Amino acid sequence: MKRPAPVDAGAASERSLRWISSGVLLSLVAASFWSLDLRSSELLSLDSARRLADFAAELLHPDLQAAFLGKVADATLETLAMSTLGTLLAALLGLLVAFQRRLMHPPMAVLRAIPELVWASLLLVALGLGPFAGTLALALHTTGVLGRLYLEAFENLPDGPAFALTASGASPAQVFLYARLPQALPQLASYTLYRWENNIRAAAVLGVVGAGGLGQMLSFHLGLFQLGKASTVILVTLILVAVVDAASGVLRRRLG
Amino acid sequence: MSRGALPVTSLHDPQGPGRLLGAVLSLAAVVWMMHLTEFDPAALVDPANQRTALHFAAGLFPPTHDAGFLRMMLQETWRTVAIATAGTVLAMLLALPAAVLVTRVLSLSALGGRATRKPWLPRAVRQGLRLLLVLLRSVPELVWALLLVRAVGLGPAAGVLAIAITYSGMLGKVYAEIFESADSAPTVALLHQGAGRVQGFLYGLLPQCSDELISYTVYRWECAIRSSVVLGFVGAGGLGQLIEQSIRMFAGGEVSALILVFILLVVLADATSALLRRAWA
Amino acid sequence: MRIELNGLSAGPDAARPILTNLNLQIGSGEQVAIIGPSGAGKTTLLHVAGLALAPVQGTVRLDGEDGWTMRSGTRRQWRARLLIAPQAPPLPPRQRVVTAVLAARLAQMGFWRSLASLIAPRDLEAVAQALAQLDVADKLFERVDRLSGGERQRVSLARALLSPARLWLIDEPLSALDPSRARQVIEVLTSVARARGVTVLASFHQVDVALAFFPRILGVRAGKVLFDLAPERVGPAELRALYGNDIALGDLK
Repeated sequence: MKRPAPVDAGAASERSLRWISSGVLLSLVAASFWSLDLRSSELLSLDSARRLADFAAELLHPDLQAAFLGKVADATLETLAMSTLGTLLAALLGLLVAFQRRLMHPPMAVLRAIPELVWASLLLVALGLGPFAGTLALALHTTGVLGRLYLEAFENLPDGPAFALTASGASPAQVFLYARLPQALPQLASYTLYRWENNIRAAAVLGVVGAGGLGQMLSFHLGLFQLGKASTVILVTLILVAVVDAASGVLRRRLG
Repeated sequence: MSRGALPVTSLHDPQGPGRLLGAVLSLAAVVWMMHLTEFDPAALVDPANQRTALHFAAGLFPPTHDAGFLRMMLQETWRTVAIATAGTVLAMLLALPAAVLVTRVLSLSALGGRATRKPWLPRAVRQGLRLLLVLLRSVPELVWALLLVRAVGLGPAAGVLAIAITYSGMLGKVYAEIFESADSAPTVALLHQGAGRVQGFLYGLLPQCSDELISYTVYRWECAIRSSVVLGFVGAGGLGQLIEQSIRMFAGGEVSALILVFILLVVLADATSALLRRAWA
Repeated sequence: MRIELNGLSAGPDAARPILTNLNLQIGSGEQVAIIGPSGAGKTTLLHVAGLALAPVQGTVRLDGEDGWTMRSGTRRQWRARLLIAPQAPPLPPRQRVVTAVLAARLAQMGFWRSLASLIAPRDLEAVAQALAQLDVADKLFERVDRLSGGERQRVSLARALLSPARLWLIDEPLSALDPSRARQVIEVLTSVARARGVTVLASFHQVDVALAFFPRILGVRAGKVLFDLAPERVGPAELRALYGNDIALGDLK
């Protein structure tokens, strides 16, 4: 008779845990809606519906004039370059971190805790407006993410190849280049490509705080209520993201 | 096994030219991208920039901690959480019906017995809805927020809606995947007995999947808190808006205090979400 | 290179050393084969003789120098003069054969040279020569993971031929090779070592190969040297004492 007791106690505590957490969740939801000034009556009014409809209708007419498309193409290239260069820089820094190994986990946590957009607005203070600050912001946040992933990848490698080279007098840097790096490379590359997909999305919106690229165009034209132009920029962003995703997918499949 | 029996041609690295070309092209691409991004390491050591940066950095310590500012931070932190929570709940309410419509198991027309007059219609609806979900989640939430700030004005409503829209796309996709991977036998049995789509869902599918649905939604709530901070930068309110204002005003102490609070919030949300998900593991 | 091990206890787990109170002298240019059952301490002996594993007790002297009282920088210079070939060829899967073999000369290359060599391999001719001696010259630009087990083992041994080491410590060099190939490979290794005056210490499972090619046989059992004899004096009695009843003496011919 004694045996089933712990099971029952476990089930009971699990049930009570569910009741408690359901209660917490529901009160959180209620408090959220209650405390936020959502002006829902105003939002749900006929007037606001008409305004939204006008807004949407204008968005459905993207500006496709050649001159404007040329400018969008420039911003697209800039965004692509920001995300790619930012990712490459982060990969380089991530490798240095993984080579250094000891004590690198905490600083990586700080780097990745702060979102790209916050990094960008901090860097803009020192570097002024433009894509350079955006690129560095992407690189900093991504270094935090990749640094940790790289560290873990290197920590899980078999020791054999490194041992053989160390035992024959190779320096730590050479052991890294000739044994550990080639062992880990496929995994590192796949992590990096995933991050690149993420960064193209981030790069497309960093411009909102003035860090260049498509985001800057978007916020500029939205500010002037040029919805047709904004809509073109959004469309191009979607296409760019899809193209980068596809390219990265092809590269990752070739690695695997 | 004789010494030196080497065909001379074997010493030509077959991948050599390709590697050289690859190296040159990559280098050229990097240089071009540096040009495009106005990449300028000199700007990092430029004395004027350094003065600004040092001035700002010196201001970071000590973090502002007077009572008024603390109260404001607390208020805005709550607003950030509330925006994320309300947005996630709305997203869930939008995603659930969409996922139910998209799920093939629940399709009445898929049952052999009942012929419909327009067999292509349900499929077209499903595909259209899938496409809509893709569109909703492909546009970054910050872009939705920018649009909504113009459409409904500054304030938390824009943030809530931006999260609701983006996250309904993400949740809808994952909900549908959860439904598709569930055991379809109980649902199909109900549908065969003449139950409707909603009944089949409520009594056949939902009981199996509810834990997974809740667990995933809570995880997304945690992500939404981070999103909600970022959305503040475009005027949706909350911590992000404070951070943006403080940076613009060069108030280093406020910035460092806000970033500390932000990190604390993320850590707390992470722990809470882990705890909640364990309840539904 | 001369090896002297005195009162040596060693093992990966310092609390329970595998080798206990072991003494061994190997003269410069000698070729010594270690035989013995699995777990006897053959690999540990090779590692500790190569300064890759610090002894728990006792001393390791190479050419009269104590390997563990010197500064670590000096120790690295000594390591550069020897080569350890571990048992399962530890080559990164996606590396090319040429790069894997060149790694034997890393200690003689500076950092920048080794970096450049990753893109445009240097000393191609020497690498090809070493591979040709082991009959795998055609694999020069092949990727390591596209080789058979035997080819991979020969590539790993080609490192020894390329390296300027004065001491080779080779662990089970023939484990993935068929018998006739095994004899060819050991023939090449021992004759090159003889020509260069390189000291060789190698462990074997194949007692017949060890007896046929090595002038000095070390029988190791349970962390101790059971016998240290010329091959013609290693008979069925010694082998039975070494392996217990596990051995199929038919292997001996």
